[in-house]
Amino acid sequence: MNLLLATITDWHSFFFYLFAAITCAFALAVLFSNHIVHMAFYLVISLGASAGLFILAGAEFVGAMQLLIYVGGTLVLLIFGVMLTAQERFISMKTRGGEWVMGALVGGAVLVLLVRTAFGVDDWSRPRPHPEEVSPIASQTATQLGLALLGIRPDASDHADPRLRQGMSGYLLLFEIASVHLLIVLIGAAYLARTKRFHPAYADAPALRHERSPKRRGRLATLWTMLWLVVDISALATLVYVMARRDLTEDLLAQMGAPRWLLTVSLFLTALHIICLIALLNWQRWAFSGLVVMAAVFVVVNSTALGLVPGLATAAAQALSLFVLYGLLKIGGAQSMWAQLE
Amino acid sequence: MAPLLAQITVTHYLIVGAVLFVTGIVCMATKRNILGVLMGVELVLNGANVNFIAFGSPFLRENHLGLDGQLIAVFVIVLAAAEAAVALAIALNFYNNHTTIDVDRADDLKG
Repeated sequence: MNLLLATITDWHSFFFYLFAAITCAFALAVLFSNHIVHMAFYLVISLGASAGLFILAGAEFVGAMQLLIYVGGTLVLLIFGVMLTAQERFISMKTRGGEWVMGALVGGAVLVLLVRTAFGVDDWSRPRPHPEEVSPIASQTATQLGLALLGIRPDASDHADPRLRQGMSGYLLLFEIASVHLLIVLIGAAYLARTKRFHPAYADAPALRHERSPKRRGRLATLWTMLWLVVDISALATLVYVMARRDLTEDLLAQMGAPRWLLTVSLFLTALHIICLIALLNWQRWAFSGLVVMAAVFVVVNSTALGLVPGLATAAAQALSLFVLYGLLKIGGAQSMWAQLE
Repeated sequence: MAPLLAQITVTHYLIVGAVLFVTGIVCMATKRNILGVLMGVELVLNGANVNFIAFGSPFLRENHLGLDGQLIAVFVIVLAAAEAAVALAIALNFYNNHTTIDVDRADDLKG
């Protein structure tokens, strides 16, 4: 064990990876847990570990504030909320599958964008040449932060441009605004959360209002839609991958003899197609018309970009899939999925 | 992978921030418990704070934001506390009126 510890020479990196792993892992645990009390506990650990990240980056005061205000104040407030509303049926609420698909789509898109941006600027991924030469005084920022909140900026007073120096005169106004804002929030929260008599009109209304007749899914139609969804999502992933790599894009377009706009248009159309399919699974009647229109647009796009033969092939494939879907939706007469659409 | 294992840079912090941000967004989109949605908001704000701190750190980058990054992070923390207080009051009000905390049930404005 001692040997292992002796081989770690760069303690800064070691602690960064430790805290980063704890932060990310427990943030994901918050996401995937269904139990509200467990979620609050995981959030405490995630935010506490990110306070460690702040301190590692030289922001000791902010790290301490994170622990005091976030972990000590905000989360205690949240846990009070959990306890005040803790009834058996609210402790763990399951999310529907369609919402997970939607959330994963949005989240995946944002994640790809953010990670690409993080690697996008060379200056950001180049480490500082001699971090050990930064004076430790530079990281003791509590005094400077306090002065800046009072309107004095000792760190910016030697700025070369006198016009900019004036603009760096501190955060006094912001500090005042935040103070008044906190006061108003305090009063507003106390006013909103005051004890009230239970509203009799809603005593048993929620149960009545939301009781719909349960809908029955046809197995085959659902299976066919899901299959289509899987095909679409893999097509979307392939398109994103191809578009992310410039060399691959050029090769592929040259081989197929297709114009550049084909990839962008296909990406957009596939995303719309996925939305239509999910809407169909959520009982929306417009989704089927959407699918028909999308099929027509696909055919037009493919025949203009690639030529007549691929266009005709697309037309045949789309018409066949839509026809099968329509047939499967119609199975069962009055009880069919088609009749249950809204 | 090799460059990532070298000295810590701003990019490392940005990736942690991105993961926190995306987790928060998906959390807001998928949770049905109103308090779960609030936890998603906290994660998003924390992800933004990680980025501010990274750009303000003198140890990670020569051309850093300096004190401004840390000050903005402090203000974000303060405003997050205020936001949590008001949102919690609204959630409790909703629970008092409708006896549920399922956000899918919150579909009318009349209290």
